[in-house]
Amino acid sequence: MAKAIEFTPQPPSLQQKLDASVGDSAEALAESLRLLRELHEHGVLEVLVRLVRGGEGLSASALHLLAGESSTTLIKNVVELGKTASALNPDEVRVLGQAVSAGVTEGAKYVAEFSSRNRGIGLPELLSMLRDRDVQLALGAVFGVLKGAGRALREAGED
Amino acid sequence: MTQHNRTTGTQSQPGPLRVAGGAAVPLQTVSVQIDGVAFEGRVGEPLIDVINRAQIELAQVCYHPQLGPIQTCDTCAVEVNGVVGRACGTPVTAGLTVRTQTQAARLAQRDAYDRIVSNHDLYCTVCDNSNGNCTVHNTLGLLSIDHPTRPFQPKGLPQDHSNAFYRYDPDQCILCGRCVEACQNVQVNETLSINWEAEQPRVQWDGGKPIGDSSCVSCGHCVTVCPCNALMEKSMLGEAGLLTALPKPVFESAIDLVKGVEHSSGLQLIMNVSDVEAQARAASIQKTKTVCTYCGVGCSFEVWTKDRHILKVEPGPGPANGISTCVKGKFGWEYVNSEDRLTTPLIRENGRFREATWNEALDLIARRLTEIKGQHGPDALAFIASSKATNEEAYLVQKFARQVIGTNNVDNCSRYCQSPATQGLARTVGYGGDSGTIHDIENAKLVITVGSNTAESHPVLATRVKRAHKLGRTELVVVDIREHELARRADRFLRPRPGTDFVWLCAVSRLILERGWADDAFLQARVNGLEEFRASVDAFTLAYAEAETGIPAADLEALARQIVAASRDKSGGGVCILWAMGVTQQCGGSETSTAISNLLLITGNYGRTGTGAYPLRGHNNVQGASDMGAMPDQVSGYQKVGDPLTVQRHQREWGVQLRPERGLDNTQMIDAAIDGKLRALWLTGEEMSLTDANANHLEKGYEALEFMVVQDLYFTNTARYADVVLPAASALEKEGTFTSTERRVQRLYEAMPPLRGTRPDWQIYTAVAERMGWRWGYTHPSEIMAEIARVTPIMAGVSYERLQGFDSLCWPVAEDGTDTPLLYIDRFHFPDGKARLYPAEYQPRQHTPGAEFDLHLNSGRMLEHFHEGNMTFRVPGLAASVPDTFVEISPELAAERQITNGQWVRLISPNGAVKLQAHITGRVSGHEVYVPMNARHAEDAVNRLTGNNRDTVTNTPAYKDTSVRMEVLSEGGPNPLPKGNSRYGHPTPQTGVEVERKWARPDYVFPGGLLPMLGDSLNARSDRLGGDD
Repeated sequence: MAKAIEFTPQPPSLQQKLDASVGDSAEALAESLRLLRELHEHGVLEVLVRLVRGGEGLSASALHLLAGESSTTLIKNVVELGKTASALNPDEVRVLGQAVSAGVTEGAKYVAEFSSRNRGIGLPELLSMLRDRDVQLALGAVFGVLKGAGRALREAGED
Repeated sequence: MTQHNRTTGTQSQPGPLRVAGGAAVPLQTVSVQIDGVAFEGRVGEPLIDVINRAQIELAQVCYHPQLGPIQTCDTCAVEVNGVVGRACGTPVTAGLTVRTQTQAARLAQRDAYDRIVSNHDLYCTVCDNSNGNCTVHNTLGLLSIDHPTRPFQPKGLPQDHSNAFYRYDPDQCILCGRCVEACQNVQVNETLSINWEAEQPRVQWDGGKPIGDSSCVSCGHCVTVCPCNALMEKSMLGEAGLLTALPKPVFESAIDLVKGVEHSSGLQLIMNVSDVEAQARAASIQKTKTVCTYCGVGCSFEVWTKDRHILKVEPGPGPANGISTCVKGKFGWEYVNSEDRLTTPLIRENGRFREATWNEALDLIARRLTEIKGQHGPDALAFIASSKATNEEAYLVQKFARQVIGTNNVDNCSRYCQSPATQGLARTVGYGGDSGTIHDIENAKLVITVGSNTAESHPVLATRVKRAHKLGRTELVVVDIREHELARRADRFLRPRPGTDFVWLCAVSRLILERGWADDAFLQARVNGLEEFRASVDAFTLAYAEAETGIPAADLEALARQIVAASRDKSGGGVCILWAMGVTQQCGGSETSTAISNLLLITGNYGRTGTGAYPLRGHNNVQGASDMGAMPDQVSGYQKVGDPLTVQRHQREWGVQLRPERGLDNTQMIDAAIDGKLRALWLTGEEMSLTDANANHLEKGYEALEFMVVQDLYFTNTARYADVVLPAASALEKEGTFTSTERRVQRLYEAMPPLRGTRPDWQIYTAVAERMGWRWGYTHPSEIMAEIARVTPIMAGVSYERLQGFDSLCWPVAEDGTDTPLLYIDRFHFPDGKARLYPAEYQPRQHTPGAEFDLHLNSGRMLEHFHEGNMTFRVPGLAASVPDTFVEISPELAAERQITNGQWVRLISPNGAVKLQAHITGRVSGHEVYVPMNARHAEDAVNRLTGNNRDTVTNTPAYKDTSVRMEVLSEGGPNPLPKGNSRYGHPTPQTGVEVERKWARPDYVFPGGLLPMLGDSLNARSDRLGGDD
């Protein structure tokens, strides 16, 4: 014979929820405690706590700074440089890079050879260099770069 | 030079709602050249459909296949036969040559999108809608736009947070009008519009009200179709993204920074960053397909969750509903996380409940059931399956009863609702379920609803009726004593006296036979029993019907003519009759349902698309509970317990012999308990103490029981009588299947693990069965379904593989998986294949209002709540909209008795009394009052007033056959239906989004003009800043 009786279910208390979670995650907790110990011993934990406390101020002011005139310009220039870098053909860059490094080596050798003599390059030597096949190729490449840049500048000016 | 065609597009009527999986009416096919390749298209369909089917990438923003073309965004510009126009606004004809990527087309596409983006602040990385499915975001990627031309400017209109469930942000709104189209023509609530002529157009509710004060019913259509974050579910805000919950100042700084950099980097780079963030957030968002837990329409959708937090409900590919939902299905799931959830079993001891472990509780149940069975025999125990639990669980309840205990005392709550309809249809056509699907209702020439408040009880199904009616494809007749929403829209609204539907149905049938309007060919070929039927309706002359029902004879004759006219053309749809509790919860429920089916038979309205009988099932799985045999005289598949083949099948599968005697049904169980014959009851998932009639009588029955187990989500009113209370898992926390009113079986998947301490019902039954010596060994519900398929011929081909994702099957399902959406195409479900006209008898009301109890009491549902409200009162937004029960009183009655809104009154019947606040409305008339089922407090439940009168055949309580008297109390109070409820709103019906008004603006030019920024974007401030003026 069952008369009606009332009951109000208690939602699990915070402590009960915590105990249940701890029970589920025992291994993960043990490992994370190890990590925390290390961070604490090296003083990193305290720095992190203070950083997080400074959090909103940090991010708000950081963003504010970043959004300022000079920072925006800086970021935009970085982005533009990045776009240039992504537009250049890596193969061509490699060729030019190798050429430049070979050239630097050659130039350093020349300096080493001629600095002891305490004179610069003389006119006859200059003319004989101009006849040199390698120098002609490099000069051609340099003028090619100038020509390409000049064309782009001219076209930009015309728009 | 290509001419820019300001294609106004055809304003032809959009086609039938193309829901995923639904077949459109086949049309003539032609060949269409797109970008040099030939594709097949159907004449009249929008060109954009052909392009999309061909999987050619074309930017499009406002087009949604389920809305049809609305032509507001202009983004889908393509060149058709040399002229640039909208792909969505170009109907397919023979000889079309389309080029999607000409210079002119590309210019137009980008100009159109530019206008969109000047209306929308692009902060995708910190936007809650950036989940991979944001149309505005994805289109930006498709068009590879780096620098928009028109600047975005805030519009100066505030955000609207006044609705409990979603918010509107005009600064993000691109004015695509999808929401308006959905509200006007899909949900057909007609609340939304756009004021195209204004200087700064925006989406408006009721022509300019705050959302919370409008006629908006929070169905969610607008939020679902919004292609960006202008309309967002509040549960998503600050929750979906990794960075979207930033404090406002930080948020604004972040956006400013990105805007500053965008000039150099271009939009694509920033979009890439946001795509990375979207991927990252996707890892913590789970998307699970499920079927709605509320009503019998069977809407299915994805639920997005983050652990236990429900982010949103995302409909789209559901076979029954498509993009449609109602407020409960879209926004009503917080009950799952209510603090009231039971989390431990409870055992009654020394006059109180104490918490117990599962083992303790299950052991106790097994022991007590065994004891009582031993002492008093198996028939001293009874089992009630839940109509909200899954098919597998309903099957196990009746398996437990029959195999483990050995009794047929098993039932489910269909006893309270559609059992009479099942009876009426089983008598006449053979299967006790809807004879077709929603697709048929959509394609009818005439829809008649009897005793159904469809727009509030089956909202999404009602939207299909409203849409077909609004678009002029279907006539609508509503017969009801209450003037609800569908009644106001109907072409013909008949208001009979309560409980007299049988009479007018027979009178109309008699007239049709008398005038020779019946479908003789159909009757000859497919139906038996004509002469007997003719004799049985002979007494129902129009004059008699008018006297008994109060409906004028002329109206009845006009109705008969209308039915016959709609049934004539056999090549198209015919008549569908939908009915619900107004018919079945009466003493003549079965007889009236039979009369409905008889009427359909004599007019030939079975067995083809657009015809048939539709008793609308109330719960998400009440159809399933009956299908699974949770009934006293049938096992699964409506096989009778005495049928030899059935007995054999079950002997083989269960190892026991079924008993041929009918067991007790719900109402008989209570009587048996009071008589001392029934001693134990195990009830799952039902607030029986408040939903059965005559609640006071019921309580005596419970108190008489020796042992009662209640299994539910909360400590319900019914649980107060239990000896053991078990905490069950909710629908989002388990797998299984539901069967909707369409006989459609669909799978639900687990969106979150069961709340700690709760278990799915099927695991509980299995555990107790094992303790009683029966090792069922189920590890997953798919195994239970496999067993069901083995013993149930109509479910022979049902398996979880065939139901994966959004797939569904309408039973009967043959072993090879062929299902049957439309019944009776070739034969009716009788041995000779013919239907049977059944001579039914009039069962008049037993409690017609008289001298003492002079008011008629009607009761039923409301849109916002589900039945008694155990789930919906635990959803704060719904509880705020309708805080408690009340009584609807007509203006005439209020004037007569001097009652004001909010006045406390007492309603008294022979069975009990209830104190309620009055709500005066024209929905009820004369001396008829209406009390909704949803009450916060058990003492206020309307079923304290209903009595023991029942349907003569099925014992369904005749809730609607109740009379009361009213005492007016001196206390007054606030109106029980608070201000802001949608019923007080004033919708603004129009034909759709009305894009012609946008085109009529003097500043409108089709995009892609020769001058940059020619034509305005409709963001007034942006247009003032830049452009051509």
